[in-house]
Formats: sequence, C-alpha cells, structure tokens
Amino acid sequence: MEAILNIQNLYKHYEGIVAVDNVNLTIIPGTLTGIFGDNGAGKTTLFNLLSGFENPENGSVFFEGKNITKKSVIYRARHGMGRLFQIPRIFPDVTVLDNLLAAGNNHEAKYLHNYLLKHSAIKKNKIADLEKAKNILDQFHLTEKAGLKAYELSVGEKRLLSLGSLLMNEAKLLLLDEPFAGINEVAAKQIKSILISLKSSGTTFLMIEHDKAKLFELADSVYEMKQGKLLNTTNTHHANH
Amino acid sequence: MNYIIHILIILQIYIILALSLNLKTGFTGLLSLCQAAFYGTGAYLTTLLMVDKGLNFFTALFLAILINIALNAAITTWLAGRLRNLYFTLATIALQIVFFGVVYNWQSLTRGPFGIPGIPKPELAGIVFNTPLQFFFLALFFTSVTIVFFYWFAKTPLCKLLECTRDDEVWLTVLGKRPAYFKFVSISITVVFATVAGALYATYMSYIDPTSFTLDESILILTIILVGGTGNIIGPVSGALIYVLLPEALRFVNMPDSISANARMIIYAMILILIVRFKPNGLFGKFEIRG
Repeated sequence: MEAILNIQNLYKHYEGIVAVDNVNLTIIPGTLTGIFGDNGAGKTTLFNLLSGFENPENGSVFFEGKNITKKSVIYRARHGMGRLFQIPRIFPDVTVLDNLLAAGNNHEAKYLHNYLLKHSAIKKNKIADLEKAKNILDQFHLTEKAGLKAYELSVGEKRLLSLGSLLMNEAKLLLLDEPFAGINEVAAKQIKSILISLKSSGTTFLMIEHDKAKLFELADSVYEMKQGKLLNTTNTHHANH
Repeated sequence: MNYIIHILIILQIYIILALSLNLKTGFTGLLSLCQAAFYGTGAYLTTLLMVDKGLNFFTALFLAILINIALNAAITTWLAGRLRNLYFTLATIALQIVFFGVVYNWQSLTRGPFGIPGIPKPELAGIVFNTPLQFFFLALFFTSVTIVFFYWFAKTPLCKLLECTRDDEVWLTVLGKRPAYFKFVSISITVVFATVAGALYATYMSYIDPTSFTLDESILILTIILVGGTGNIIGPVSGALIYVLLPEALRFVNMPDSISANARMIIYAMILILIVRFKPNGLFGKFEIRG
C-alpha cells in the first residue's frame, strides 16, 4: 500500500541544539503511529515541520506521494493534513455548531459576489455542511451543546470540537499533539473510542503522547523520540478494543 | 424644523460610519483608528470627481468606492497581515495621521486648509437633493441600505468566517482558510460604507476641509461602537444616537459657553469609563472589542 506520509532525512536545529535529527518515517493509511519522548526531545518541532509552521534545513516530506516540504500550512490543510494542538484551538466566541461550519468546505460562500451569482450553490453546500456537522456533533456527543459559545465547553469538549473541525475539513491524516493531556478519564475514554472508530473508517493518525500505556494500547507502531532522533521501539500490531 | 432634520442627517452619517467600523473592529477584531481616513478619502474623492471632473454624484460615489478600496483597503489589509493587536492599531493611527498630512499639504489637489467649497448637491433623474428634507430622504435611503446589508451579512457564512478570523487566525489557517483574504473582505466592506458616509457628508455640507477627518473623529467613531456595542445592528446605532444626540440635549442645559464644550468632553469620557468598567461589551454588544 502506498504511504500517506513519507518523511525522509528531516533535519532542523536551533542555535547548536539539534531538534530533529535526520528523521525517517513512513506512515500507511488507516494506521495510528505513536511517538513518545521527554520534553525537549523534538516532538513538537517534528509536528511543526510536518504541518508547515517551520521549514526543515534538510530532508523532505511527501504527502500522498507529493513533495510538500516547502508548502504552506494552508496548502497542507487543504490537501487533507490536520493538526490537533495540545491546547485545543477553537473559535471561542463562535457557537459550537458555527465552529464546525466554519471548518467546512463551502468555498462559494467565501466570495461576496457569489451570494448574488451562486446563491443556490451556497445554500446547497450549507445544507450539506450542516448535515455533516450534525453527524459529527452526534458522534462526539456534543449535540446538546451545539448552540453554546465554544469557550463554554470543558477542555475535553474543546478538544473534541477541534478534532471535529479537522474532520469537517476532510482531514485524512491527523497529527495529534497530546490528545489525552489535561482531561478526565471520561473524556479520555470518549476520545479513545472516537479515535478507534475514525481509524477503522480509514483516517490515519500520527500521535504524540506522554502516556505510554495509552499509546501502546492504541498505536499500530510506536517510536521514541530522543534528542531529535526517532527510535523504533516496537511494532505492536494489535487489534484495538 | 431644519435644525432637527440637520441632526437626523448627521445622525445617519454616524450610523453608517459606526456600522461599517463594527464589521472591521467588532466582527473581525481589527481595532483600528483610521475610520476618519476612510471617511475623509471618500468625501474628498467624491468631491474631486464631482467638482473637478463634473461627474454626477452616483457615478462619483461609485468611482470613489473603487479608488478608496484600492488605496485604503489595500494598505490596511497589508498592515493587518503583518501586524497584530496593538501594533496594528498603532499603524492605523499612523495611517490616519498620514491621511491628514496629505490632504492638508497637497494643496494643488485638495486646496489644503482652505477646503473645497461649493460642492454640488446630489442629483438623480432630474431631482436635485437641495433642501434639508430632500437630503434627509437621500441619507435615509443609504442608511436603510446599510442597515439591511449588515443585518443580512451578519447571518452569512462569510461573516462567520470573519468572526473566526477575529477569534483565532492560526486555527483558521490550520483549517485551510486564508485570514488575510477575510481581513481584506472586512476592510473593503468597511471602506465602501465609509465612502458612502463621506460622500453624503461632503454633498450635504457643500464644503469640506481636513479638520473634519482627524484622529479625533476616528476616536469618536470608535467610541460610538465601544459604548453602543458591537456584533449586531443595535449596538452601533444606539452608540451613534447617544453621541450625536447628547450634545444637542446639552444645548438646552443652561451652561455658560466657556465651559459647555469641556463639560461635554467630560460627560463623553465618563460614559466611556463607566461602559468599559461595567459593561465591556458596550450597551447592547455581542462581544468585547479586543486590542
């Protein structure tokens, strides 16, 4: 099967410290790859390089066979790469439902003149986005909170909303930065079951996680990041329950 | 009677200015102090196109809108793409000061401090909006269009994206959307309506000079939406009502002329302090203005 993400000799350093040291990694669609490591090991820098927030000094990133090493964050997002931040990013003063709709793909609605010229296309896309958003709200148990402003949600719910927004944007590969950090057990269980369900429907994940137990429980393969190097620890290859 | 009509025309001009700033500052979160520059550019462009080129009011207004977008919206969007929060606000103050400097000193074009007198009244299909009452109806038409537009626009998915731009630009980028584009849309719409207000002001007063479009004016328009509130129609409209009608009401208080102007400023400031302290969303606002 063709890799969804192929990282080749990725390298980045800051003032004498090598943050990402010739990292190579291949990720197959529909899998969950986990990375753990101490603070400062280079995990977040690796995510910044993959999502386009920083440029590597060396090496390449291929996404679905295309070289995206120099492409912008927007380009990567539009082609199906999503990133979930450790501190959940949301639009706080916008309702939960509108957070999801804003992430949708109603391209015609972005242009003012289309409200005159392509009114029916905007309406049609809006209905489709609304349907999709409702399904996500349902799946994420957020339906009752659809009308709340996003800042009113708990940290776990904000993270779900963030994840839902990435799905609205049709992300195929999700980079998850500590998705279980700072949330209670109930929310953690909910996120875990959602990840399992999304994986079974074909979504691919690359996940940074401090909690090794959770990582080994969920991931198909796990790597340790140490001083910028990615070390293969084990191939778990087990079914998720 | 003419006095009341005059107040109502000025009120409508401020309603248009406040509603347009509401989009840029309230919905999109671009706290800016150059609304008088947009307004003044609109007034000067319409005036010059009418006086020097002999164009009809509506043609001049249309062209003034296009030029104002090309000038001010482009520059402000460029600034908004590079500067955040207070730094952006400071840059808009600079833009406002540059505007004043240009219209004050470019005498061959704007006649500088002497101003431009004899601006013709608008004319449509042979009807000249000559009397205050006629002009009131013309202003009412533009104010109604402005209110209907913003009422409709606030419900569009595009407006939600402007709100998202205000809330978190990085997240919007991660979702594949371009914040700079949404800022340009917001600033351009603001410029369109500020130009309308400027054109109305110039043709109503029949005279303009740079002192009508100073930083103080920009501060006043921002204060209107701070007091009334942002994110809806009622906030900016109520703010404009307070700030236009209050000085008129104070005329009926027996106060010596020597202190009335200062007393007015003290009252304005008190209102602003009380609102910021106890009602940061403004009287009717949906959300707080962020710097």
